[in-house]
Amino acid sequence: MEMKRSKSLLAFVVLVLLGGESVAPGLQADAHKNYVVSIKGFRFVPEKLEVNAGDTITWKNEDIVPHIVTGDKFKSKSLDEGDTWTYTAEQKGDFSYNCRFHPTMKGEVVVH
Amino acid sequence: MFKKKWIALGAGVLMGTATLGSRIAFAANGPTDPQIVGIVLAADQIDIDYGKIALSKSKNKQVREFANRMVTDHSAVQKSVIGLAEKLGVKAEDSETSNSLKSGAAEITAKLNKLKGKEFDKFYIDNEVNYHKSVTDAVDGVLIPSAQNGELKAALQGAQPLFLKHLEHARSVQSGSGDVMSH
Repeated sequence: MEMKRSKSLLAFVVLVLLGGESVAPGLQADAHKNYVVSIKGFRFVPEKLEVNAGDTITWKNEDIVPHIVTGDKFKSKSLDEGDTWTYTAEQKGDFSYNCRFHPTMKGEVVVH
Repeated sequence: MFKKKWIALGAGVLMGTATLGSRIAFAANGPTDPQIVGIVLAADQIDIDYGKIALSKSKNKQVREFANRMVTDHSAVQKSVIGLAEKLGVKAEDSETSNSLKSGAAEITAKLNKLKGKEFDKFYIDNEVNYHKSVTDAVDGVLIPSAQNGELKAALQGAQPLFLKHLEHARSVQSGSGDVMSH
């Protein structure tokens, strides 16, 4: 009797877990994503990024010198080595940007 | 084979920079790791010093922004090189190359101190273009191949994009193209 109850409880837990797993992807698909752009070797990696409106983009400086993300619609603070800056892409469109400190470093964000 | 190529590069760099006096000369048997650290520290400090002179004399926005960047970036490199040398237990040594860099810099500094206005700006930027060209050639052709320690070699390879970006930046200021400096 006790064994049967334990088995039922175990089965219930497994079902809940499985159910949870089947629901999670659906929830993630609807949620906004976060993308990371590495700044290393004096390049934005990736140089071109496509995101959906509402997604967030985090730039991380992995170089030893300061960089800055400078676009018409967004501008970060000066980023020292290891610093990050996150921007929420709300407006749709094609936005190019550069590092004002090193103007030949260029990147692009396309917001769908 | 390697020695011949190496000497030829040294000659090319020497010839390429003779007009502005920033010479990078190399010994035939190549620099040791302590000498490489000495060369990089000397080259960095020279450009920091040029930048400080430009900031004290130039009124041109693009020139000042470039000079400010040189001071900031090369100071960061300087700090990084010193930290790496300490970690590796490598003590910087003077060499024919670092001494040559310093004597060339003394000539350039004297001229920078004499010039004013647009003449100063032009000479400073022209020199920065030649200087960074010389440094990138030297890092690629001599310092990286000569470095024995793997971490030192990797650090030099990692620093090369910085010198190349500075060269591009200097050329854009030199040519007067405003597009990359418009922000």
